[in-house]
Amino acid sequence: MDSQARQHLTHLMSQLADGDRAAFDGVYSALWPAVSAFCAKMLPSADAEDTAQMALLKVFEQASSFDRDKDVLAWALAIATWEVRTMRQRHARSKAIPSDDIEAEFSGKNPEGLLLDREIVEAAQSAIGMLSDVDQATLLATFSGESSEPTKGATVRKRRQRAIYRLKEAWRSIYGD
Amino acid sequence: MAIDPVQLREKAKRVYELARLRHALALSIPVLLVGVMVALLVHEVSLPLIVGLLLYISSVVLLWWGRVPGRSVLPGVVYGLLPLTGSVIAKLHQHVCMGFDCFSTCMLYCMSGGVVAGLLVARLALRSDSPLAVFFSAASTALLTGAIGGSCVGVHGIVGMAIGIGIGAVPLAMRRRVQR
Repeated sequence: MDSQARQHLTHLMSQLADGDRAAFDGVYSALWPAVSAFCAKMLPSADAEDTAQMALLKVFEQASSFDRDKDVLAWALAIATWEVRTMRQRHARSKAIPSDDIEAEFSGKNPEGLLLDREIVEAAQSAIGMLSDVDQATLLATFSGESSEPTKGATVRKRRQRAIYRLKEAWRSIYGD
Repeated sequence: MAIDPVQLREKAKRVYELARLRHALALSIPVLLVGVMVALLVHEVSLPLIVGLLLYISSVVLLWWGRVPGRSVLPGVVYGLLPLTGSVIAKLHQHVCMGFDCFSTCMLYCMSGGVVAGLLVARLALRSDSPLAVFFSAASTALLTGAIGGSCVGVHGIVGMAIGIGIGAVPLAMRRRVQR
């Protein structure tokens, strides 16, 4: 899209934001091919159209609050980028082994299961290794009971909660969501 | 699941309209609060709240519609606060005494507040590309806002306010006559 077309599109979107419904068709006709093509480049074809449709609907949902100083194409593609990211995250989560399968792997102790055990343990050790000595001791006391300090009480509970929270943050920083 | 392009267009239109409506419903909440505040001040619940509700509905409709009428809502409400304040004062101090004579302040405050609001609305309309649209939407909003307080002093308070706003439209009418 050349700069003149983009300026015209921004002008149309400003009118639509103001409530001029006559600008709707012009905005729709210009944005749908751009958003659709963008999603097609970023995702497999099976997901690209769904994601493009979600992105376009979000664009029109936010059209009334469009900032007239922005470039509408860049703004719409930013929304599409967010939808692409959401779709990719959804795929990444669905690729994780479901809990039923994990149990089958553990109980069967086949080579894949043993590899998974080792990987999970190493991942957990890496995340725990990022914590402070106090947090590590707290987590050890919580899950193994091997501590001379009491494991109950408000102070200990709070310390435990903080340690678990920091463990989750450390995990996320290494492995993502 | 992918949907038909025609269906997508229609869905996008619906999403746009619903978002505008939600936005208008949220932005109009302060005018309800004006009705509540007046009700608390004058210790009368039903009339200020009923008129406040009417103002809320008209504000939602105008803001949802957008364009010139939508942009005239805020100035209309602000200008309408003048006759509203006058009528609340008239309700709280119903007469002024000078020597041995006492005068009712209701019509004086309601009409003068209406005239000032009408002049301000006319000034706003004259600066616009669509003066009639601006005048009607801002004036109706100002009248409803003023009527929240005017309802406390009776129908004649609201009528006085309306006459005042109408008087304020005279400069607009004269200007348009001259331009023709």
